[in-house]
Amino acid sequence: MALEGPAQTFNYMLLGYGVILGCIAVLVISMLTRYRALHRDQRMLDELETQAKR
Amino acid sequence: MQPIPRALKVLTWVSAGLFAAALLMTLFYAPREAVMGDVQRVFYFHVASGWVGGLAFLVAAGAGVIYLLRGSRRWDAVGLASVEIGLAFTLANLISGSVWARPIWNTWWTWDPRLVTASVMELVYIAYLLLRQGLEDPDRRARFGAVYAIVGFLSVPLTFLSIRIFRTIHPVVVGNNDPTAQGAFDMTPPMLQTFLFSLFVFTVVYIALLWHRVRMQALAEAVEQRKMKLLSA
Repeated sequence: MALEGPAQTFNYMLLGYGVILGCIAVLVISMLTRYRALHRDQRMLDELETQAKR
Repeated sequence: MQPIPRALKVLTWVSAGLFAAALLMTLFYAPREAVMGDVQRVFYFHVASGWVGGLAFLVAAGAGVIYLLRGSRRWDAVGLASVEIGLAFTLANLISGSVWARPIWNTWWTWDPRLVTASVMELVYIAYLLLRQGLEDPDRRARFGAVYAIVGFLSVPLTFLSIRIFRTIHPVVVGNNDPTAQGAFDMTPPMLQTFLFSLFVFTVVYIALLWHRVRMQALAEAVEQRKMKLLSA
């Protein structure tokens, strides 16, 4: 029996894009989260150093 | 911490815009493939992700060489940043390939040379991150990272060439396909334009992410030094 038209693979396309965009999003969110934590640490260190000087 | 350089701010916005443009191109400009249907569109970002993975690991190896020659820990930061980014994109490449394979090869996974070598490559670099964390001395950690990134890079050309060396069902994008390949297709001009544009965009995105990650590593090391100084005071 001949195949009529392309295969119906729309859902797999959505899943594929979801995976790729998801991996990139996880990387970006991970970087943002770590950046914020480092800035928080920096502010904490500024306070501790100010207290230590007093 | 230095403010974000203007060039990096511009690069970040440009890469976000280009990524959106590439996504729209893959969805609306590239035609639907005649046999595979819509799932073939995943190919553009799947190959681009694989390209960034290989590029990132190459940069890590290069940074390793420069670190061993010059001893500057900045290059260790570049290597670490590049491996992290490479891992994310290689994972995207692996899983998206599996999603494409399900309707085309009728399986999520097969022990094909390309799939196996790509998975081994991913595991090699996961080990890089895990083993690095076990070393406390920063200089020793950097030296280990440099040597590991150089040796680990052997997995990259092996992965790339696997479909040309071994019998495979994985399609070849550039060059002749193995007679057993399943899912190969001829690219029309809009498909080729979309493919090349996706490769370019992903490269720009990689550069932006690398720059951000290297800056973050410099901040992390500065914070660590301040903590050590405070503790020893």
